[in-house]
Amino acid sequence: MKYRKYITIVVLVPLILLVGCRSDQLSLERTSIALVVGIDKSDEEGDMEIYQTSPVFSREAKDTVATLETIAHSLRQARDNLDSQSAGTVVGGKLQVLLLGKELMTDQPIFDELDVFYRDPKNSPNARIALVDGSVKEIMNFKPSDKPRIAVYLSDLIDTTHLRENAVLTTLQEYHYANFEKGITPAVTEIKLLGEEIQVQGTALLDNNGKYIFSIGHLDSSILQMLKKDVQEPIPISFVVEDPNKVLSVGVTRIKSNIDVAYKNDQLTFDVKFKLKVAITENTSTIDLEKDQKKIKRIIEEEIDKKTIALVKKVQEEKIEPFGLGKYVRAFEYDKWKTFEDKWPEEFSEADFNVKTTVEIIEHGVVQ
Amino acid sequence: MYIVKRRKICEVTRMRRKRRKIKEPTKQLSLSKEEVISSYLAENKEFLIHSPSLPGLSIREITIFDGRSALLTYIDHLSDTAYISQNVLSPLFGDHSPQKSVKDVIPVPNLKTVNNWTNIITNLLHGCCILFIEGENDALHINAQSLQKRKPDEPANERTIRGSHIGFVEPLEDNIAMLRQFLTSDQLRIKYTYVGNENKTKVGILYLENLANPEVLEELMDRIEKVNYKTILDSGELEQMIEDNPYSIFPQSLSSERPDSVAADLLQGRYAIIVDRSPSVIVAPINFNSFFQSIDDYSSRWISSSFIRILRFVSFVIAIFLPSIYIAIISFHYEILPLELLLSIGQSRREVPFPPIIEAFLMEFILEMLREAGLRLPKSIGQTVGIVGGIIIGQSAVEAGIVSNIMVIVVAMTAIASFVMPNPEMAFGIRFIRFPMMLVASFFGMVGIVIGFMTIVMHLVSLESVGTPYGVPYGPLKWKDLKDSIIRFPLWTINKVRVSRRN
Repeated sequence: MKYRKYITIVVLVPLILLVGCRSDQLSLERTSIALVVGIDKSDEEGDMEIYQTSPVFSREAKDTVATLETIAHSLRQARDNLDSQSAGTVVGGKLQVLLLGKELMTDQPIFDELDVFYRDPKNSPNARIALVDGSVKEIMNFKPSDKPRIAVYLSDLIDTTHLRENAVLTTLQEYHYANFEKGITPAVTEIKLLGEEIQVQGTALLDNNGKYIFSIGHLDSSILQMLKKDVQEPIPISFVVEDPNKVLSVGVTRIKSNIDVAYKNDQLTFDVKFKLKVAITENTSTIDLEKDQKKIKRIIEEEIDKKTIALVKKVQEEKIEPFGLGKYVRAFEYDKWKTFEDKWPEEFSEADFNVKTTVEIIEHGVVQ
Repeated sequence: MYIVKRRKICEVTRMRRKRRKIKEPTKQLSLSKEEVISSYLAENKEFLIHSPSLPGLSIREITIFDGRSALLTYIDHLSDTAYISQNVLSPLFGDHSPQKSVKDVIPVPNLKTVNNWTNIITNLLHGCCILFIEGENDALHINAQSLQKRKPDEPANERTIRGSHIGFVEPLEDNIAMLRQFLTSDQLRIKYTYVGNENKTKVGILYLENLANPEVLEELMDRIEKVNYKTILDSGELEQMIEDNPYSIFPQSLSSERPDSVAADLLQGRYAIIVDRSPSVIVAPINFNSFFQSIDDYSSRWISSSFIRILRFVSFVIAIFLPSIYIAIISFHYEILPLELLLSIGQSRREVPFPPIIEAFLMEFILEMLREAGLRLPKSIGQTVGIVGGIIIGQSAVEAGIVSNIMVIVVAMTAIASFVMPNPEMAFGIRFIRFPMMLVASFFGMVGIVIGFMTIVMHLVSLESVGTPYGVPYGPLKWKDLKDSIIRFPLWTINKVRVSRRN
C-alpha cells in the first residue's frame, strides 16, 4: 500500500469541498432576522394577521427596518409567506419581542399557536411576550424619529419597566413553564400605543390556555411580583395620603415575603406576611416625617394590605392564579393537592387569604 | 520511561527519513591524503604547492636557530599573522642554544605534532599554522586562528526587561564559555561531535550530569550521528534533521540566543546543542508549555508573571481561533451575538460583496504580506510599509467596501495576539494553522472549529520531543509540573519540580 496516503488525500479533499450540509450556511447579510413578531386577530375566521420586523442591511435602502405582514393559519405558514415577500431568508433566532393582540387573546387561547417557537430549536426562547391593548399593526409600524428601531426600543422599554417592577417580564420560556406548571397561571406584559408613545400599562393575566382574562396596573404588578417572591429592589411606590393629591413616595429597599399555607377547619388558608424596609423618597404632604413615623407606617401598611386583598379577590373571582401559590400547597399539603391539582385556580378561588404587612422606615432622605 | 516505549517508533521514523535522504556520500577525495609527510622539505613544499585544496596558502622558507631550514605555512587571513610572527617566528630566529628542541622555544599553549596530510590540510583550512622542519618526520601544528568575532550583544528578538543582556556569538568555544559563566557546576558535561558530509561542523552537546536523562542523550547522539546532509551552516538546519515529526507545524525544540535562558533549561535537565558558527542554541527535549515561558517570568514577581502567562495562553487561542469564530458566527450562528453587536456587524457587512471566508482570507493574506515585507526591509523603509498597509487596509479598503470594519478589527486583534508569543517558531505555527481553521469554519461552522480544535489537541499530545511527550504537563498530566504552567507559582514552591524533571 505504497500510495495509501495519496489515495486518502484524494478521497478526503473532495469530501471537504463537497459537504452536504452547506445548506446550513447562511450569511448574515442574506437573512431577514425577525426581531419583533406580532400576531393579531384577522377578519377571516380562524386566520391570524402576522407581522414581522427585521433590520435592513443595505446602503441603498432608506429605512433601517422592514415591516412585513401576512395572513395565515399558523406561524410557520406565515413564515413561508413572509419568505416570499422579503429579500432575505426569514430566520427567528434573534426574536426579541412577541406581540399578541388583545382581541385575538380574548377570543381564542393562544398557547397552541406558539408551538413553533418551542419546537424549532433555532428559535430564541428568550423573546419577551407582550400583550398589545389595541392594534398590533400600529405598533409594528411605529417609527418615531427620536427612538431606535422598534425591536431595540420595545425590548429596552419592557426590560426597564420590569426593573422597577411596574410590570412582569415573561419570556417564551417562562410562559411555557407557567402554562404547564399546575400551580400557576401565566401573566405577560401589557403595552399600549398612546398617541406618539408606547406605554407599558402593567400586566395582563391569562388563563392556562393562554386566554386573556384581565389587566392590572403598576402597583398591582409590584404586589404580584412580591407574592411571586420575584422582586428586584428597590420598588418605588407612591401613595396619596392627603387630599387633594398630596403624595408620599417610598422606595422599598428590602422585601421579605413569608407565605404560610395551612388547612384551618378544612378551609385552605394563606397567611402572607410582608416585611418591608422602605426609604422615603418624596413627601409633598404635611406629614412630619420625624414625629409621625407611626402614622406613615400605618398608612403604607394599610395601603399595601388593602391593595393585596383587592388584587387577590379579583383574581379569585376570575378563577385564575398568577401568584404561583399552588406550589406552596403542593409542598406543604401534598395529599390535598393531588385531589385538585388539575383545577387549582378554582380551588384557589375558595381559599381564605390573609395578609399582614409590617413596614420599617430606614431613612427619610437628606433634608429635614 | 517514555523513551523505552517510543524508541521503536523513533527508529521507524528515522528509517523513513533516511529513505528520502540523498544517497551515500563519496568516501574519499581524489588526493592521496592518507599519506604521511616526508622528512625532506622540498617534497613537502612540492606537495603543498600542488595541492588543489589549499588556495591562498603562504609558504615561507626560513632558517631556524639551530641552523636547519624549515617551512612555515598558513593560509592568509585565516591565521593571525601578528600572533605567528610574535610567537613562532621571533623565537625561531632568536638566540637559543642549538641543543634545545624546537618545541621548547615556541611559547604557545597548545603545540601538537601531525604527520599525515589529511590532518594537515584540515588544520590549515581551520586557520592553523604548520611548521615543517628539515629531517623531522612530524610537522608542528600551532593554533593561530584569527576569527571574525562580534561583540556578545543582547539578541534582538529575545529582549528581556530584567536579566542579563548578553547573547551568544558565532564561535562554539565562546558560547560554551558564556554558558560556563552561568553554570559553574562541576556536573556540566560537554560531548563533541561533527556533522556534515562535505564540510564538517563541530557540534557540542551540553548537559548537567546529575539532572539530565541519559536515555535522552543516547537518543540525541544517535540522531545527530545519523544526520546525512552536505553541510550544516546553522543550528536551524540541524534542528530539522533531528526533530521527531518533520510534518508537524509545531516546533519540537527550542532555540535561544540567550545564555541565561539556556542555562535555566540545562538546570531543568535539558540538553543544549551548540553548533559552531551559529549563535542560536538548540534546547531539547522541550514540551508545549516551554513556548509560553520566558526567562523574564522567573525574574518578575509571581503574580505579574502568572498574569502574563494567562495572557499568552489567551493570545494563543485568539490567534488561532478568532478569525474562524468570526466566520462561523457570520455564516452560521448569528444567534449567539447580542442584538446590538449583530446590528452593527450587519451594518458593516452590508457593503462587502464577498462571503466572509474570502474577506477573511484576503485580509489575512495582506497582513502576512505586510509582515513579511517589513521583516527584511531596512528600518526606514519598513516604517513606510507599516504606514501604507495601515492606511490602505485600515481605511481605504473599508471605505471602498472591500472588507468590513469588524473584519479589520478581527485581523488586527489576531495579529497582535500572535505577536505575544515569545517564541518565533511557535508564532509561525500559529499563523499558519489559522488558515485551515478558517476553511473548516466556513464549511462546517462551530462544529468545524470544535473538530479542528480537537485535531490540534490530539496532534499536540501525540507529538514527541526527542522521545519524550510534548504535551507535558497537560497531555500526560503531571500535577507538580502544572505549578509552572498557566500559573507560575512562587519560585520556592516550584524549585523542587524543576530539579525533578528527569522523567
